[in-house]
Amino acid sequence: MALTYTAPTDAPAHTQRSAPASRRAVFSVLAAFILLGPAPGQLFGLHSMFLREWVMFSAAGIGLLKGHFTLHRADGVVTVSPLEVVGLPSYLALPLDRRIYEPADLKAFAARICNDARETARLSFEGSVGTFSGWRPLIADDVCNAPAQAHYGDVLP
Amino acid sequence: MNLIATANARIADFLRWGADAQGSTRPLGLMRIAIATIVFVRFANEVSLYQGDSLSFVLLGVAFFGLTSMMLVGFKAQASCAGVALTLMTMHFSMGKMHGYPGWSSHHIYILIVSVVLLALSPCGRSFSWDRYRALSQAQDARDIPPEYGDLWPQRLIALQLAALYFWAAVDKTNWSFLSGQRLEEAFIWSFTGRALEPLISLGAILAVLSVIVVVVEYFLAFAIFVRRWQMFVLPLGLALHAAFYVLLPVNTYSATVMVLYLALLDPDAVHRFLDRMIQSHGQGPSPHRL
Repeated sequence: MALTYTAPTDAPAHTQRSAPASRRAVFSVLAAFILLGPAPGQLFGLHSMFLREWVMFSAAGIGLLKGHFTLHRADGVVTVSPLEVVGLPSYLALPLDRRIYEPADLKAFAARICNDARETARLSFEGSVGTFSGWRPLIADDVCNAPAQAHYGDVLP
Repeated sequence: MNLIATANARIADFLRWGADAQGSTRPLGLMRIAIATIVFVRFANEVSLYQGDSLSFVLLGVAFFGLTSMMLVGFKAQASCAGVALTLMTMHFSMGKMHGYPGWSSHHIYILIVSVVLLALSPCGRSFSWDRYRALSQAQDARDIPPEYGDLWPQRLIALQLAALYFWAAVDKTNWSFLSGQRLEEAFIWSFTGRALEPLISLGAILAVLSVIVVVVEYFLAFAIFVRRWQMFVLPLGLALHAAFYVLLPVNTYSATVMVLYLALLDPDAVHRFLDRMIQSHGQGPSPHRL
């Protein structure tokens, strides 16, 4: 696509002046920094605090659950949503360190139920967890007492 | 040889468009006022003096309010913009990135920093400023009045920043996990679970279609914002995209900042003439007391 640059000024062409070489050099360096600065991080994984990458919301849903927990009580099963388990009105209120980065993190996520001495029922989870490459199935038969056995659904336990 | 000659000609065109740019400073003046307001809205509560738990934090608050107020009214405009830029850099890089102050390392803060740095390099105090008011009141004759005209290369860099933002945001989304709608669903689950609009999460294939549209629009905007004859529909398209982000996702001041920076894409002299027409038509109308 051909870009049409506008004239630098509305003044007649013969009256226009070129910027000094120093300003052209500064402009070129800053333009290169702005246009190419994200390339090392976004293309080659070479991240730097001073080279901003434009990856807005790429991690918004990482470690969040889609699915349901189940409490297996003596008088029947009770289905509980992830927000009910964590005891928050919205995922926006969930601290980053309570997200699920490994299957075993489910126990910390469900700490409100796992640490409740009155709740003796087994807590299981079936659903998916958000990752950078999309949703990944996640299964746990006993979140509180056997967190190490929680596993991704696409990986054998 | 033709290829080299063409490349050289393109580079010359680019430098003439960018480094040599001159024109009305009114868009810069408007951007300075709007960006200062956004900086206030974003940080005033967090750096108010009653929030200070140390002397250095209180001093940061004092510097913030003093310099941002100066930037807003255009008193020593370029110097105050430079001061605000240094304050924001301290908050973003030192307190946000290195010490983990929550929310201060976000993209919406970085785009504010870029905006204020480039305003500090521009003649943003020549229009709509205390600096101009003082110059007008002290002028002995018309030759003493500084023109609302100056070098606009920082404004061109703001335009390039917008293009880079769109291009690299689209690059980040050019993968199966985004184009299939999964990452948009993840973002919606983060934002809408437990909320009245929770059904948006279950849009299924529509989320995939929306994801593809977002990527196509971002790639398109990265280049199309510079094509003057397309701006009549390209700029409203971009503004609509940011309005949608604003109401659907917790983007904080990001959308508002980018919308303000769209002023850098307009022909500065056309903006100047437009404001002239607005002011003149008001001046010829009835007295404000009779409106």
